[in-house]
Amino acid sequence: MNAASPILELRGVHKRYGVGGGLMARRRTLTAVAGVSLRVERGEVLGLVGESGCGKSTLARMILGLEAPSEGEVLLDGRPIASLGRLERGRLVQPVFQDPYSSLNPRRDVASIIGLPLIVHGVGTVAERRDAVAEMLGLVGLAPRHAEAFPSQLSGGQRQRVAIARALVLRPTLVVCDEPTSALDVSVQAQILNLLLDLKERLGLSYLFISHNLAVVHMLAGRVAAMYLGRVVEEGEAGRVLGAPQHPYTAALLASALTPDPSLGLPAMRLGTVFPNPLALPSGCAFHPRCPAVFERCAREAPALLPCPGGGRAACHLTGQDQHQAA
Amino acid sequence: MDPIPAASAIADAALPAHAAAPMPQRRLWRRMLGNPGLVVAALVLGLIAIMAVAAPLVAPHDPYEQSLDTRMTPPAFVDAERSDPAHLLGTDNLGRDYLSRLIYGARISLLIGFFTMLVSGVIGTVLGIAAGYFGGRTDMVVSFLVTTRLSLPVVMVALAVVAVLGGSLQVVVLVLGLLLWDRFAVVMRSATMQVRGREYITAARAIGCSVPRILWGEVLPNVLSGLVVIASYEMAQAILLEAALSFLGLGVQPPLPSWGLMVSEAKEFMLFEPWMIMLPGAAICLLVLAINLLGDGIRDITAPEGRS
Repeated sequence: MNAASPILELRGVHKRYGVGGGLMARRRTLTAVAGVSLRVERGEVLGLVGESGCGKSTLARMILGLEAPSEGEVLLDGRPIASLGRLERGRLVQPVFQDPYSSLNPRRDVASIIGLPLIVHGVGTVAERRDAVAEMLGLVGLAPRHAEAFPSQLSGGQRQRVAIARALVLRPTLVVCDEPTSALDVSVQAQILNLLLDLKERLGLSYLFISHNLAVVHMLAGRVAAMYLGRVVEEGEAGRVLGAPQHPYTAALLASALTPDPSLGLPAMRLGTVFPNPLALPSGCAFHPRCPAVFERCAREAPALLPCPGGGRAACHLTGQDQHQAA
Repeated sequence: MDPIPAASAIADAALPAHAAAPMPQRRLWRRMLGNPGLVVAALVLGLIAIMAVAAPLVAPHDPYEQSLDTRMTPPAFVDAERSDPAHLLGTDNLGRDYLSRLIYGARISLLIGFFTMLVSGVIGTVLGIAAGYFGGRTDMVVSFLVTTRLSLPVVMVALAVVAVLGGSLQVVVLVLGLLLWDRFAVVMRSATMQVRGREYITAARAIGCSVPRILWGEVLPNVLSGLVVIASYEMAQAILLEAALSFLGLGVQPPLPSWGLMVSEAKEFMLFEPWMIMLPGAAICLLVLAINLLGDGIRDITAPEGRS
């Protein structure tokens, strides 16, 4: 293990899919992820925000080694993910998924679900594995008697605890949480988030935390990256990105967050109704057709992800020009 | 702030309501007993199976023992005057005890039905799961094989092959097994495609499970209920086809007592001794009905998503 290298490093990662194609139709390319470079340091939580379809989940699948990038490199613990065996990879990075109703095999009981990674990796004897499962149950706040329950007998929050236990039983260094609370009741969300925070401290984990809920990201993440149409448009320390966003898209995301105060009405996103089409990317800055602060240079030239005043980086022609719109 | 105990207290508080609900096994039993078709089918099938297994103990006579003096004795309920109390269901045209032959015939039917289902089930399930899980080119090849298989008329091909290779138990099982796997493949393919998209499959891959382990441990248990239903239908199908082949003289060869063969042998006397053709016909009908009812029942008690 190399202590100097970040636990996760993405270098110019692209993912393209060929879609359609047939006798008459030309095969078209869908770019799900277009040149993402990110780092997650040890013990850090990186929040990844963005609307549906912006490539967050595709990125997660590549980090888990379930899909190979079309271009660029994914480095886990300083080593290219393609060079790791599937067991080695599994010991470094584990996922927690959004839907706890789909992420647990309904035919296995809880003990068997949590114990499966140990069996696959040949860890310990039968008795040692049973102890490890019992310890995991305790760590995620489930009672020992839950071990014999089937997923259908558990509530959504309990299922998510089981999913977390399965992800952590191998003691991975990095956990990729893909919207781990968005399928849960609001009251349960807080419990699961507290659990994730607590486990991070106890087990020294790093998280890549994918969410569209900015409040959740603010609570958990040290750094935040915002994605739009497969690109990172802004990245930086969480307080700065969510407090003083430099990119109009991040600003719009923040403005669109619902508040409990009904007198404020529905938030206006001010992004228009033009939905991005990943099959036909706009010229220049991918965000320019929806940007409230668009000007002629945007359609012509794609902005680079450059350091911005308050720290971090943003990909907008307006950053550093002192005239940016924090909408 | 110590979130863990508080959180676990809430998690625990939610449990008693679930713990009070009956365990899945008990619920399954209750649902089984609440399905009359399933209960009747299971009883009939169980009875036939016990008879078949314990045939030497149950059968009153040797099924091959001929007695030309007592040919075509009718059973008592057909003609009480001519009947013989020693032969409960009468005798056939060679004087062999009809009841004993029916009991031994159940062996043949169940044997062929079971092993054909096994052969076709293994072929169809392997192809279907492979096509559903891997998709792409594998799926194309399997779909082509299924289409090819569907374009072959089962009875014609079976007749041709049996005519060339000669009829015997093994040949019939093999030929039918190689012809009846299409439904397994189609159903397993679509069931696997559904399961493949579930996140527990993704989780298993992320853990580092090998593909065989994923197919065996994660996919197969979740497509099993569909498999059981198809298996019952295919078993019934195989029993009917064996009867048809034997009737045409190309299945099991005499003097083996097969129900289809018994119908065939009795057809010459159909107008004079109609009971001779009715008894094995009724036996085939009853067995196939029971197996189909069992399949329907299993489908009914497993299909409602009350399980999850």
